[in-house]
Amino acid sequence: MKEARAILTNILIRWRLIRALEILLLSLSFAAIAYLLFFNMWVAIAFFLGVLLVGAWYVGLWRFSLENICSHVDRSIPPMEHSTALLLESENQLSVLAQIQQSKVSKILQKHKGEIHFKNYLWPFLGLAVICFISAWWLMGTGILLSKDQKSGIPEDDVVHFQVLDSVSEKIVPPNMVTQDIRIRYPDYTQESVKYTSNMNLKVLEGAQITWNLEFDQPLQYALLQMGEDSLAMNRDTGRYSKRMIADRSNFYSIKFVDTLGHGYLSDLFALETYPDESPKIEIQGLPQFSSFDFKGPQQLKFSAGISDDFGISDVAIVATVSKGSGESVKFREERLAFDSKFRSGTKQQDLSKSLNLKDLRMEPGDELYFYVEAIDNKRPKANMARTETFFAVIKDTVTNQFAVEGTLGADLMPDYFRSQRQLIIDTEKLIADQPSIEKREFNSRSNELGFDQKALRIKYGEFMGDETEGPVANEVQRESHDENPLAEYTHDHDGANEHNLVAEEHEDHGDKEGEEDPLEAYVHNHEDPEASTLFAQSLRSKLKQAMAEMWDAELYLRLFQPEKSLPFQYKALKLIQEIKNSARIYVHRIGFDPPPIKEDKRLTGELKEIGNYSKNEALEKEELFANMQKAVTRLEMLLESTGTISRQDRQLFDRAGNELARLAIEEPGKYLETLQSVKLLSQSERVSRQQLQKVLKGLYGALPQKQTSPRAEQRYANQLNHLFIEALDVE
Amino acid sequence: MWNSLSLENKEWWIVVILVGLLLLGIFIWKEWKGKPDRRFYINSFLGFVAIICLSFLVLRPTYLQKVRGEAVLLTEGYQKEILDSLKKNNRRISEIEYRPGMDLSSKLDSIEHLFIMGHGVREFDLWQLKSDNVTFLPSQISQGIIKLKYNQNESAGSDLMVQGIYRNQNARMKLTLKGPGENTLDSISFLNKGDHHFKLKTNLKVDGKFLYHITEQDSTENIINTEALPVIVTSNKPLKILIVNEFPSFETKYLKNFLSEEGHEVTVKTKLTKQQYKFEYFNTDQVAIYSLDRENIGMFDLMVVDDQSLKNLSKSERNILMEQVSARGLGVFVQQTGNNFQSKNSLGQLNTLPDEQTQVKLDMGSNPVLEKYQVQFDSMGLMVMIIGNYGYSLQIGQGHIGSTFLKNTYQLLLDGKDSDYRELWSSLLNGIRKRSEKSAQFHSDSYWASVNEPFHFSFFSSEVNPKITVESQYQVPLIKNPVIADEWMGKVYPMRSGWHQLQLESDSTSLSYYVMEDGRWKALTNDNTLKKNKQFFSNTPSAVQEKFLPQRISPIWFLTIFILVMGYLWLEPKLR
Repeated sequence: MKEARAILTNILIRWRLIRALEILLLSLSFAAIAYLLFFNMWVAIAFFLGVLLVGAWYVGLWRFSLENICSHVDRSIPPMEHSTALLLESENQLSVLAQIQQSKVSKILQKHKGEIHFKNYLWPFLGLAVICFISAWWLMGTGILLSKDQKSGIPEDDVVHFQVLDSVSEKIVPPNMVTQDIRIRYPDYTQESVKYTSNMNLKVLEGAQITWNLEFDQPLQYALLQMGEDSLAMNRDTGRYSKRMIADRSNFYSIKFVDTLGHGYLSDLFALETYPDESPKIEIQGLPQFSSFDFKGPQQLKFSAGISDDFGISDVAIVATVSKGSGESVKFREERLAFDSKFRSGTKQQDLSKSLNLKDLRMEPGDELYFYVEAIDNKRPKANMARTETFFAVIKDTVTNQFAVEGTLGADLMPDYFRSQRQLIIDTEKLIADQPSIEKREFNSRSNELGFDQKALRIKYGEFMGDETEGPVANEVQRESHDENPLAEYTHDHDGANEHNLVAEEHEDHGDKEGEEDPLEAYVHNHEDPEASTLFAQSLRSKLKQAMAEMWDAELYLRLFQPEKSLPFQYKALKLIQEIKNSARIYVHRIGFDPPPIKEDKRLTGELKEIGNYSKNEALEKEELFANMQKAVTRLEMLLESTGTISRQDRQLFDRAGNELARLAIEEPGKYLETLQSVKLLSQSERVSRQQLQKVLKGLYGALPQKQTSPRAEQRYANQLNHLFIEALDVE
Repeated sequence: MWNSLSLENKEWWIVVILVGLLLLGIFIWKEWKGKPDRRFYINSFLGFVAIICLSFLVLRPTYLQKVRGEAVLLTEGYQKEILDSLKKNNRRISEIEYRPGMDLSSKLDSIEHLFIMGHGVREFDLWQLKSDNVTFLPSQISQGIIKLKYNQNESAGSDLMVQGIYRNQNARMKLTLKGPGENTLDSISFLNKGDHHFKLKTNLKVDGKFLYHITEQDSTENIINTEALPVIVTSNKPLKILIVNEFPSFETKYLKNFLSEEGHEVTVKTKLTKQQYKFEYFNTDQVAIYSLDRENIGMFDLMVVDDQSLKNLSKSERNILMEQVSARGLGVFVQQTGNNFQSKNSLGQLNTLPDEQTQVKLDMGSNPVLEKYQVQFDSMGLMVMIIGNYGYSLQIGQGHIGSTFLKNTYQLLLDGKDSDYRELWSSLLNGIRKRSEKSAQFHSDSYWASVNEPFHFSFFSSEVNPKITVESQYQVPLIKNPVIADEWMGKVYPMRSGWHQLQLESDSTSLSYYVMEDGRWKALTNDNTLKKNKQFFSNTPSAVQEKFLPQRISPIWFLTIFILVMGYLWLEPKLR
């Protein structure tokens, strides 16, 4: 029983094998044909797989089961009496009759197992495959279907055309380039893989190493790589010509070779274009240029930076500078900070984020932070560096009084030991707000205090005006040690502010205390008379007076315990003071440097004994940028006119002219490349047609810049008649 | 009547008379019969007649006969209609086709009156004709450039200006100026028919001998005609310039930089203080010039000096300078340090008029505006030349003195108008600088020659016996001008087209001229011919002279008389 089943399974496997072979052969045939048509291994493989899959699906290798085999056996072996299917059933499930039939059939099957055949197409398919392979191989070998360019294995666009330079009379078969491999190795730091191309027009990174590998179908004497003005011999290595060089600047090149018969050939002109490694680009998101923070609130700066580079970033840092203090006592501290997110060196694009806590930088109110992001790429030997603009962050200083004039005013004119008008307004408002919750006595007392402060402020401004103080103010105690004159701090007693420039006063050595204590001394005049005080301009004076009048009213209402009514006056006063503050900047510009006066009697009395003649000799060559191009134009015109032959000197001249034109062509290749190519050919070839000369002449003349007129010497013949004529004119 | 008679074989007359007398003697002796009777006289006379006739047969007498023939000479561009109407009037009129250079004498002999039709006889053939018995029937030129003027010899950097008159029969024609290698440089379109003035201009970039071309194109851009325009571009030779300043100035600083960078040989002397100078030498040897003398100033082409320095010259220096200017052609450019134009300087007065303007717009390039002194140059006077609208040049003897009323021209450089600065100073200095003397010079009235046509040139030289060769091979015979002692004239007949050269043997002086192929510049040539012919034939004849030609008396008459006489003499004894 089991044997019969095994036989059936074997038959099934055989069937599948045959079908699979058929499909395989068919696919191979198709693949061979495809390869023949497209000359591409990948296309051929695609065809092979495609046909294989379609064939397998069509034939249904896996759908065909033992049942199908049974019916086939039934059909091909009549003695099986259409009972082969019984062999598949298990004995237990069959009726007795069926069991008898099963064992009978089993025996018959064993007996007839050799007679089971499948109709197959193995041989025709094999034949087809063989024919296809043979024809593909034959066609490949003879190259009938190949186009000329494809034969060399070089894409059509990249095929280099050579022109014969000598006047060759007999028909010769010129050597052809069969391989042209250009290997471009980028500098190591770029981590770029080596690239291969057959396109002779190259665009590479500065510093890349280029290797040309050329192979010809005939032996040559030598081959040259003509790069700009240089002719570089190519190294010969087992039939290959190669040249290796570093691309340091854009240029043009061509290939020249001489075959064994001594004929020279020149290729077209190719461009070698170089581009520099670019600096990294940094983009900062979510960060204003200026940010300021209150001391109480959080002092967090959050931002992210997108950094990209064409070949990889090697380092990124935040360079932060903290400035502490102001004026002469300013101190700077510089730190290099890293980003929070991890920086991976060598990547081309990274997004990094940073959260700067100003407190971590030990910043205090009034301190300022300047920082920028710096990125360095991995260029060697000298890396490119890029940095962002500088960002500022400030922790607001709550201590500095409002009179401090920042910015352009170098000197702070305003004393800082009394309450500012703004402070008074704030306190007044606070007082009004507090009114319901505090006792009336307390309210009145505070209002009175504010009134006092207002008075102190008014008197302070009065001092600026040169007014006499009306009476002692509370903080006068602090100033007792000073001069009686309240303005002494801000004034300088000299009549001429410039005197110190003239003669150094000796007593300065042992210290002018007043001067030391008061930095303003040098800049301020005092004429005692308040009206003549030059501290402020006239308009400022009137404004200040007005402000003081407002202060008077403000004080009045504060003293009357009516802070609400006082507020409008305080605001007016504040506004006026602000205006004065702004105008005060002008004052600074009025302080200038007065040069020391020249003593009249010393003028023009210098000794001239030591002064001699001065003589200078200089030879300035007039730089003709396109001298050779000009000469070439002249020569070409003569050649065209006289049908002369191009001599060796001419070719050298055209070579030099070509080098001059190349300078122009590097900048504008589209305009001059064709001409340059023709000039190049002209400088090498002996066979030049009139049309070519004409074309080169046109191109060169067109490329020459306009020549400008200039003074020049002229010769003329002193004609007797002219002499007589001039003499006659003169008499008139 | 007798005056008109003449003998063809005059030279034989003695022989003939001697032989005749001898024959007459023999004849008389033979007739002599002892006594002189009537027969003897008759026969002797007849014998004499026979001998006369015989001698006339030998001597061939002629008489003058009035010529009555008419002919028409057909030159290029004749109109058939006019010829037909001429023929209608005179059926026997003969036609002569004109070819330039042909010999007309034989054909004109028997003609009393000649009509010339078409554009006329070429200038070099006019000598064959007398204006008297000729009627010129001109026909106009239909199309082409009929007048042309351009500067054939120019220096590199200046502009080539081609001006002329173009006549077109069709509307929408275009003239294009093409440069070396057929580069299109300038063009002009004519919308209407008629005569048009045209002006084409281009910068001359390169020195050498070039053929520029002018092409005529019709409205469909088809090229109808192309004519060559030979141009000789010479390279610029540097000048030798001396700059003398009383004090350093920006003007001089920029000027000297400009000149020295252009390759000129510049010597600058600037006073630093009393007796102390700063000398600067650019592209030249170090030769300190403390005071002007003949030797040191003689080598300069141009002296640029400020008015202060000019005023401070010593008397001897002043004389030397004056002599150098008037006799040697030195140019002096005076830099103004203030409005001192009116103050007299040692050389000559610069004539100025007061002017209100403090600024002037220059006629050049970008029309820059510059500050000026409040003067205007007076252009009156025969020796005055105004340069642009800013400069002044006064001829003094052979040399020039000049100036400009512009202030601070270096402002142009500071404004980046380099080319205007260059143009300004080029025109100023070129108008004033010395023209150094040449020993010889060629001159030709025509711009070019043509194959197989005479090319006339004149040559100025003080040499006693100059020798000129063409193509360094053949010597050209020269005729000396009888009035102008140093002018020589010659002509050559070029055989090949292309550039040719006339060369003075003793010197490097030469003349390059271009020879056109036959038939180029047709319209222009025809217009010239037309003009010349009109001029030539416009002289009305004083009196119509009758033309006589000697006519031979036919010998048959003498022979007949001779035979008759002989017959009588033979018959007479027989009849007796």
